[in-house]
Amino acid sequence: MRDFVTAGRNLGLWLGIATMTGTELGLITVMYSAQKGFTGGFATFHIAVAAMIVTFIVGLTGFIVYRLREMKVLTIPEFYEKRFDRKTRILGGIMMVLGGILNMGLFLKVGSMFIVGITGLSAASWALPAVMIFLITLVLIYTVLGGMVSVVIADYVQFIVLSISLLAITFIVIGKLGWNNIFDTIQNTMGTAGFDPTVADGGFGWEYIIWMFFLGLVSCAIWPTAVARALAMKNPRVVKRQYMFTSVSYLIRFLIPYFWGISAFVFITNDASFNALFFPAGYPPPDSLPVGMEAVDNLYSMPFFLGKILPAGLIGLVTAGMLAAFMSTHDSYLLCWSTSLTQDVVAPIAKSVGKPLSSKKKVALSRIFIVLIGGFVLYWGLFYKGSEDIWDYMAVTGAIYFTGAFALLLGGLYWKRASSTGAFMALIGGLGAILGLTPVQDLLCFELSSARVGLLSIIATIILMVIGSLLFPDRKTRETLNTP
Amino acid sequence: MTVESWSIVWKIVFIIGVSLFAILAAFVIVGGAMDTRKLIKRLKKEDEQSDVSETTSEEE
Repeated sequence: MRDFVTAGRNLGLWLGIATMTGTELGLITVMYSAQKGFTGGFATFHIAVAAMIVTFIVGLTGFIVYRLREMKVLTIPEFYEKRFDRKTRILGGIMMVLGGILNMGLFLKVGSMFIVGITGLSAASWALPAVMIFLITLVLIYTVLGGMVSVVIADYVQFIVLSISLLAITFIVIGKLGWNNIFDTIQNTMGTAGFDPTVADGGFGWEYIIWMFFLGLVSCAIWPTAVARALAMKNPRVVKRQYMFTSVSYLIRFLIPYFWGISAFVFITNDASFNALFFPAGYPPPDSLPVGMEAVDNLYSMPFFLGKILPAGLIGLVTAGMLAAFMSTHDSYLLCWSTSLTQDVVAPIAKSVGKPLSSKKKVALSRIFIVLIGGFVLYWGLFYKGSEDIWDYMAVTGAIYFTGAFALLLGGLYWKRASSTGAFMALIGGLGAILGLTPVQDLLCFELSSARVGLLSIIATIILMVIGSLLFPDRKTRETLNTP
Repeated sequence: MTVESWSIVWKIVFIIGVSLFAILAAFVIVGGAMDTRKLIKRLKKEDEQSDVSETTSEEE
């Protein structure tokens, strides 16, 4: 089981960087970042810079990840059991898998939209579901058969294809549109909001920036798929170096797709017929379009743009690169959630009832979960009807898990008095983040930005952790405190 | 800060970021190949050792 989950904790520095980059730079990242760049201009670059700074600091200090690797745990909920108790592990596992599977719910659909968009297949017909079924089948086959070792090696090969195509396409885009033309067009159309992230008019502002710094911390030090890479490294010292170097990848995974989205905006707004497709009521678009008027979904803008400017051969290279990005993320996520379900939910319950699972049974169960999660992702991609940006959807669904996990890791690793009751309350408090989803807000008739919901959830989980721990200390802590 | 200043900041961030990534990618491609070889070697060795111990325990 240890080999299946962490490749026997044998990863060297460079392979560790490749697999971490491959996992966290998925086609979904490219798509939602391009969408953000298309709507927010260069001001979105602050998100990339925040991610890089935070990842570098985590590498420098070893914050959270160093201690987790030192403890030799296989998953984060396993740490919950070591530090708190088995109940916390099971609840933590359920919350993690719930948030994680919802979070990857739109990966398949958005990734398939890229393939459909760049190849010029109609988005409205059979193409999208057909591409979705084909891609998920492909990923399921090799993830089920291989486990972590096959995932890591596939990530490495995909890193090569991905990095070459990212750099090559960026140079071609600059060559086609002109470096100065891109900046000048954004200045003329978006004005200050297209450059200054502190301006709230552009959809950002200080509250959003703080939220992005926190998301930067989460995505490298708390998000299980990233932490799984740290736990698979040879030793804790290599983990620190892995994070310092990977901070560059964490910058690029946003920066280049933002740039592609910005370039798509420049290309589309400079052409009247394309402009009419994406902005039929003119730019800036009104809050709601007149009856009978429909705009093309802006998620299609970047693949549409690349499909127009790249020659046929290069479209093949981009598609290969993006398919690599798609698969390297999907395999890691499927493996992470399935092993968590097995290791942190089913196995502890089985152990509690006196029927512990053998290693072989755990691997078999993980494989069954991989297939079931694949089926769910296909279903969710076809039927979810949210209207928020994909980035905001992901931040909110991820927050169901990570707001509680942040309080538990922080308290568990750095505060001696943190208790299992406090941990339990913090995990439940993380569910509040679900209020950030637009279908939930529509149902409850209120409106609050995802950044505000996320920040409030973090504050709430930390307060719950502190109150729960002070009011209901664990017996061990009580005894230590009472000892003269 | 003015729009022009922001524009210069983002240009610098972009150029430095892309250059650093190009260098990192070169190192990762070469270093990753060596790490992969070592990983496969080690896993093979562990497999052989576990085969030997399984055979021994069956004989016992």
